[in-house]
Amino acid sequence: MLFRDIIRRDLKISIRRSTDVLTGLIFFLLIALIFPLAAGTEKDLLLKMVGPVMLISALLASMMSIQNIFKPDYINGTLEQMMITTNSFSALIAVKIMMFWMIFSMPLILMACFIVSTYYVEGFSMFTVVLTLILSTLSLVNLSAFAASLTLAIRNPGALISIIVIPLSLPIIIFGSKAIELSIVSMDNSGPLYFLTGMMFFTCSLGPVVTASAIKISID
Amino acid sequence: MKESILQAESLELFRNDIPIYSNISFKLIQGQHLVLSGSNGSGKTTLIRTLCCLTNQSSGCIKWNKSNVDSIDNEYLDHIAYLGHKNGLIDELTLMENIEVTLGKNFDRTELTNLLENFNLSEHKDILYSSLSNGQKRKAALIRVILSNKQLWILDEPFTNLDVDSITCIDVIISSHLNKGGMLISASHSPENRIDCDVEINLDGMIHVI
Repeated sequence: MLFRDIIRRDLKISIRRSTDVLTGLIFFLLIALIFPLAAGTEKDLLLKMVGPVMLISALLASMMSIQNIFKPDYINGTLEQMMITTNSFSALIAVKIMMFWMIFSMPLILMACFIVSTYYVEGFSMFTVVLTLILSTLSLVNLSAFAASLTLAIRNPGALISIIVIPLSLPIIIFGSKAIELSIVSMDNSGPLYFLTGMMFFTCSLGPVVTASAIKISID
Repeated sequence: MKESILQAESLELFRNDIPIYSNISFKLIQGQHLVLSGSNGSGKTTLIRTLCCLTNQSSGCIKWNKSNVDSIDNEYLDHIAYLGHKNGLIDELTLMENIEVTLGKNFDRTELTNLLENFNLSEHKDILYSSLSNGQKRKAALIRVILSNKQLWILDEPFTNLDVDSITCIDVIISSHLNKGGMLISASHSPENRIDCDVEINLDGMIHVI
């Protein structure tokens, strides 16, 4: 199985199984929109909230959708077939995780561009929100994929994925929120952004390898 | 096809100190068919998965052309086509799409058309895989193995859910694969659904606690 076959396959499947992606995206939209509705129209409060709200909503939505990243392939035996190929299994998993990010997180980031306007975020800060979300969702997707692979053989993983992912994702949430907050008050936010970039490279390079090993153990 | 030889030497697998299979040794050369027989739970599937490098054995080794498969992982995997209990095809894709995504563009289209006709699947090739019957799904999975053009086919209960005509058809295909220098390892629990074999390993003689 070649990489381009996996890309083609995952795109086709996500179109035919669009409810999986849409449910996660609608969930993100609702969580992110409910805060300005509930907290009122006070500008300072909303500007202070926007960072954590965006990141936590993105985290919850990706944890919800990631359950189906490997499970159907595990059930129908495609994962086994992927292991019996000459391609590196870790690389195939990396492609699958990146496909999930493109199919799920990219529309989510696009939606976030519009949602942040309800929090009075404008101008350059909007760009920071997008950049922070790109960096943090890449890390979050890798972390969630790892949790999904650990719970692969469990029939109803339920809250187990959250118990694994939330503690691991705390640094990303903290530094991501800080990057957005500093940008809103027009201060230098390069520190948190450097940290997020580092985390992104760390999770993207190590994540697929660890995830592939966890899948191998689940399949054994 | 290149001269090839598959050897297993004293394979053993223990789970929680319980032997799943033990002392399995065999040698399979081109054109030969190895049958793993035994009752339900005798360890056929686990042994087949070990031979596909999906499950690790506790001791012993598998050799492909006299090299340990652990050290030549890719070279060995490049020669095997595996069909397990799960068909390895995707519900959301049609039969044709499934064949295309698993085999890429590297398969003989005329052979595919012939196989679809022989298996009475021509009219179903553009139907979603999830809508097919269990027998048709199994036939689609077997088509994937046949078209993969690999030397060693490893099939776990290949005839599950198949009708008599399809079994006869697959018998012919397997004979021609073996005549062309291919190799086959199959697991079967029922003697009536068995193709002529050169080597047989009966796993019933071992101690198995489920």
